[in-house]
Amino acid sequence: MSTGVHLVRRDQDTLEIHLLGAVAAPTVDALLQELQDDGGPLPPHAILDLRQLTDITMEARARLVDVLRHLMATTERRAWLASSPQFRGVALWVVHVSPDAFGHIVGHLAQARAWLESDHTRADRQSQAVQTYASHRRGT
Amino acid sequence: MTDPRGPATLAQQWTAKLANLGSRLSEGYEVAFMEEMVRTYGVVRLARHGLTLNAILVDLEARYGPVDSQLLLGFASFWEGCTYCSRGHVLAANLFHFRDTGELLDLQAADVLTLRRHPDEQILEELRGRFAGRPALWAAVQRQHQLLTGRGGDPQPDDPILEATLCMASWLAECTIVLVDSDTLPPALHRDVASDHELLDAYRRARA
Repeated sequence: MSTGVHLVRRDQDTLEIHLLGAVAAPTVDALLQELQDDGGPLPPHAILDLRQLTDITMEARARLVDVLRHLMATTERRAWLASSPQFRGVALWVVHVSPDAFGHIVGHLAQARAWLESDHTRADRQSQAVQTYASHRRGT
Repeated sequence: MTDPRGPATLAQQWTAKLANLGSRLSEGYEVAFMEEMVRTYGVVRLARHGLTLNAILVDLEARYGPVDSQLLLGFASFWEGCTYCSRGHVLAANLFHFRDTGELLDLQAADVLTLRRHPDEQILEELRGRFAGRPALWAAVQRQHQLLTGRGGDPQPDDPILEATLCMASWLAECTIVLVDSDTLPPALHRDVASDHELLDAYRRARA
């Protein structure tokens, strides 16, 4: 049974979306509807917080792709907060298949802020990390 | 759940088949996410980063040995949410340990699927008990998690190689994540044990 709820908060710079409890598709549909009904300009950054999620159905996860695509059209950068491997995987699946080059999954708010204030893509970050090790190995 | 992007192109599918053929010849196994790798990164970036990833594997194994290096790769993937590589590396660690000692580790590939449902802190508490007899591994797993979550504090000597496991896992998980709902069992992800069917059978009998 779905016990999930969503919360949306915003300030000048950041739209915060929280998913809480055991989330099924209607909760995500309601979230998307709320975002679409808003109409006004959204802040440039979005944080999608999954840290209080306890479960999510596969249908709800698929609907998150619609939410993310809406956010990709209306915001500049997005950070996902998750504190378990399962929900990091959920976020990564959504970000990957959407696909959102400017979305990234992190563990806490300071990491989220750092990502939102940067200007590179997730692929850039991964490539830089790989090249950093290659340089370290060469001693350069 | 189906992928909303639709299928890969024929060229991507054939390139992936060729890449997997190469993987079978050089590593002894094929991976179920090769098509996604080709689709996501393209052949050039795949080949270029592949060389660095191999170097990371060599360095990690030289530092930690085959069992602990495979477990560290498994955990790097595990934290990212990947169930394919994490199980494949934990299986490889188990096969090395079983081959060399005749004993079983207190962690098997299937445990990944239950552990992953818990918050990180609870998982670390569980691992502390399971790895009580392997202090160097436990210290590295904790450090790897601190680096993942940006809570590393002062640099430590093994940070570059542990950071490298995380960047490798992140790069691969971008593609393995499409298998998160799949029943596909990964092979043991190390060339020295991947095609040793006798060892795998003996290990499975010992686990039964």
